[in-house]
Amino acid sequence: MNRIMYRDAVASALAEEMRRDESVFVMGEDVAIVGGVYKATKGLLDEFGPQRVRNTPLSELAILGTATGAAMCGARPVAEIMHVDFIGCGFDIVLNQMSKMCYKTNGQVTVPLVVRTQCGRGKSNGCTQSQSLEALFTHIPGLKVVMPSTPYDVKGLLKSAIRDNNPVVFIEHKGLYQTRGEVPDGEYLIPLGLADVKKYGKDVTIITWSKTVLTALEAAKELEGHGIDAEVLDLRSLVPLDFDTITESVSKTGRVLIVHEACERGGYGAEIAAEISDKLFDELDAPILRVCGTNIPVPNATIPEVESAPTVAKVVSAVKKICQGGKFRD
Amino acid sequence: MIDMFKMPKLGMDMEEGIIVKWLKSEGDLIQAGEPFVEIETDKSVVQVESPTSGTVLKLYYPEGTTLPCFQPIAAIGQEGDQAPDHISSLPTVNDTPVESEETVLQPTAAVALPAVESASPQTRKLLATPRACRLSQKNGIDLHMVSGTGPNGRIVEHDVRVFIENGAGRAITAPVRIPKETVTPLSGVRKITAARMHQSLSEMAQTNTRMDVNMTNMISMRKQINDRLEKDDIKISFLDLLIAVCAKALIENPQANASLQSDGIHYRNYANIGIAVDSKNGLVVPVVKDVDLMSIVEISKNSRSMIDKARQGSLLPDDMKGGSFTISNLGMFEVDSFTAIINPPETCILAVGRIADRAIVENNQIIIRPMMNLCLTYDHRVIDGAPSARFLQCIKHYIENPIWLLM
Repeated sequence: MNRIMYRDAVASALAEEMRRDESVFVMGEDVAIVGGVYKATKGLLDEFGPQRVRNTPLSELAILGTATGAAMCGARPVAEIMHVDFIGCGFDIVLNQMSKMCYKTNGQVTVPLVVRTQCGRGKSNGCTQSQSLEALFTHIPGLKVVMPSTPYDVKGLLKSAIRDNNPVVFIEHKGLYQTRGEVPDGEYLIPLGLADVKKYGKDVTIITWSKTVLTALEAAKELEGHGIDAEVLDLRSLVPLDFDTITESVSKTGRVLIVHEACERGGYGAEIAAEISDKLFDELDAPILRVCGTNIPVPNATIPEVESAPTVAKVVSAVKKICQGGKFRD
Repeated sequence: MIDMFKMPKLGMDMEEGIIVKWLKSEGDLIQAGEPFVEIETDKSVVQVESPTSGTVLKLYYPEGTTLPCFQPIAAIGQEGDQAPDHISSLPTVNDTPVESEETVLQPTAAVALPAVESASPQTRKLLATPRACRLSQKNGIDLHMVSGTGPNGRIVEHDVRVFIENGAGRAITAPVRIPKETVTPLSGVRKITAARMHQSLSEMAQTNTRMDVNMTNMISMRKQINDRLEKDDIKISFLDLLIAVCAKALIENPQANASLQSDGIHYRNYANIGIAVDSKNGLVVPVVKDVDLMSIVEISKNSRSMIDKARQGSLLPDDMKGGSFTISNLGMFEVDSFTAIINPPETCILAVGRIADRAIVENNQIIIRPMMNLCLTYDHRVIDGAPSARFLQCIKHYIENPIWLLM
C-alpha cells in the first residue's frame, strides 16, 4: 500500500489498462510529451509510444469525434478534454453521437469511450476554466458520469470506466491532483454506480462527490465538537446513482445535506433532493438542504473564488440548521 | 335573492358535520342571528344561527345526515323565490374552498357539550416532520399532545421519542382529552323511575327514622329453618324473613300500611310488599301480595319468582301494582345505612343495610354482635313520628325476637 497522488493514480490506472488491453489508447491536448497539464498521463508516452499516447490539435470537436469513431470501430479510447469548460466546442458529439449511438443502432454499435476531463476551482483559472458542469452530462441519457474524490477511487473507477462498453464522462478535479491517499499495489476495480461512506455517522447524511468530499469530512470533524455525528456519503458515480446506499443512510439519520461545488441552480443536488423527497419522504426529520456553488461565474480572485464555493463553515452552519431541536437542543 | 346555507366549519379540524335537528321548517320566517340548525361535530352539538333573514325555502337534507363542511344544506330567500330542488354534493373534503380564518364560524351556543375550540391546543397550527408523523402514527400518538422543539416549534422525531419515553408525555404536557358525552334519550324504565322519584319527593313530606337491630337470633333461626329445608332444596333468605316480619308489623300498624289518595287515607287490612330489584333495565319493584297470609316457605318461593322475573325483564304490569310497602336492600353492596325514597302511593319504605359484626354494649360489657341498620322513610302527611317509630320498633322487636312471629 503506497500513499500516492491522485494524478499518479490516474496515470497508473491508464498504464495498467493499456498493458492489459491493446485497444486502449490515450488522446488529448498535451497528453504525450508534457504528460497532461496536470501530469495525469505522465510516463505513458515512454512506455506505450506515440501510437497509443496521441497529442491532438486544439479542437474538442476533433478529439471527441475521433475518439467516438475509434470506439465505434472497436478501440477503447481515453480522450482527455483539458478543462470541462471547453467541451462546448465538441458538444454535439457528446449530446447526439457518443451517447446515442448504441440506441440508434439498436445495440449493433457500442461506444466504449472514456472522456477524461477535469473541473473545479482552486487555481484562479477564472470563469471559463473553473466550472463544475456535471449536471450537463447527468442530464444526457446515454452517458455514465463519474467523479472520484480520492486516489484510491480514481484508479479503481477509471479502470472500470475503461472496461465499460458505454461512454463514460470521467470528471476529475484540478484541486485533487496533488492530494495523496493510499492505493493498493495490486490491481483492483471499483464498480461504477457504487457510493462509498467516507465517514460513518448517525445524525445527518452529507451527500457529496468530488472535491467537496474533503470539505464535508473536515466539516464532519468540526461538527463532532457540536455533538453532531455526521455521515459523509461520497457518491463517486452520479450516473448510475447508488440510491440504495442513500436510502440506507437517510433511513438511519433522517436528515440530509447535499454539497456540491457546481452552481446550486439546476445542479445534480436538486435531482437527488427530489428523489429523496419522492422515495424517502417518511424518513425525513428535517428539510433537505444544499450547500453548493453560488449562482455566479467563478471569480478569478482567490478569496471570492473560494467563498463562492462550499466551505467548511458553510457546511457546518447548514448541518446545524438541519439539526435544530430534539436532542440537539442546547 | 336566495342564500344557500352551508354546513358550517366550526373548528379548524372539522371536516364534516351531522344535522342533528332543524330548528326551522320549510316556509318558516327566520331572522339573521336566529338559531337555525343543530350541528353535531365529533366534539359537540352546536346551535348554528342563520346569517341572513328571510323565508326558509328548502331544507335539503333530513336530520341525521352527515355532510362535508361547506356543502349547501338549506336555501333561505324571499317567499316565492324558487330554490333549486336538488343540489350537487361536494365530493371530497379536498375540494372544499381554501379555508380562511373568516370561514371558521364561531358556534353560538353549545347545546349538549361545550365547544372547546378557542382554548384548545387543537387550534394551533401543527408542524411536524414526516419522520415524526410516522413514529407518532406507529405508536398511536396524537401529535397535538407533543411539544415541538424544532424550528418554529416543529415536532421532530426526537420529540415524539421523548414523549413516548416519558410515558406518553406526562412530563411534557398535561394530557389533552377531547370531551365527549353520549346522550341517551330518557325512556322506558328510566323515564318512569325519574317521573315517580320526582313525584314522590315533590308531593310527599318525607322524613326518616333509623334503628340498629341485633341479628343474632334471626341468623340462628334462619340456620335452623334452612337446615330443615335443605332436603327440599329450599333456602330462606334474610329478605324473606324481613318480608314476613314487615307483613306482621304492617298488619299491626295500619298507619304505616296506608295510602293518601284523593278521597282520603286508605288503610289496608292486607300486606302487599314490594321488593326493589336492580334489573338490567334499572330499578323495578315487583310486589309480593298477601304476604301476611303466607308461610315463610311460600314467601320465599313467591319473592324468588318475582325477583327472577324482574331480572329477566318479564314482569307484567300487574306484578308491579298494588303494593302497600316497599323494602329496599343494599346490604350486598356493603352499605351500612341509607335512606330510600317512598314508592308512591305508598306511605313507607324500609332501607336495609348490611349485616356486620359490631361492638355493642350489653349488660355493661362490650361485645360483638351481628348488627343491621334499618331506615324507615315515611310520609309525615299520613303518619307522625311516634307511630312511625313504633312501627320500626315493632319490626326490630320481631327481628330480635323472632319467636314472637308465631304469636
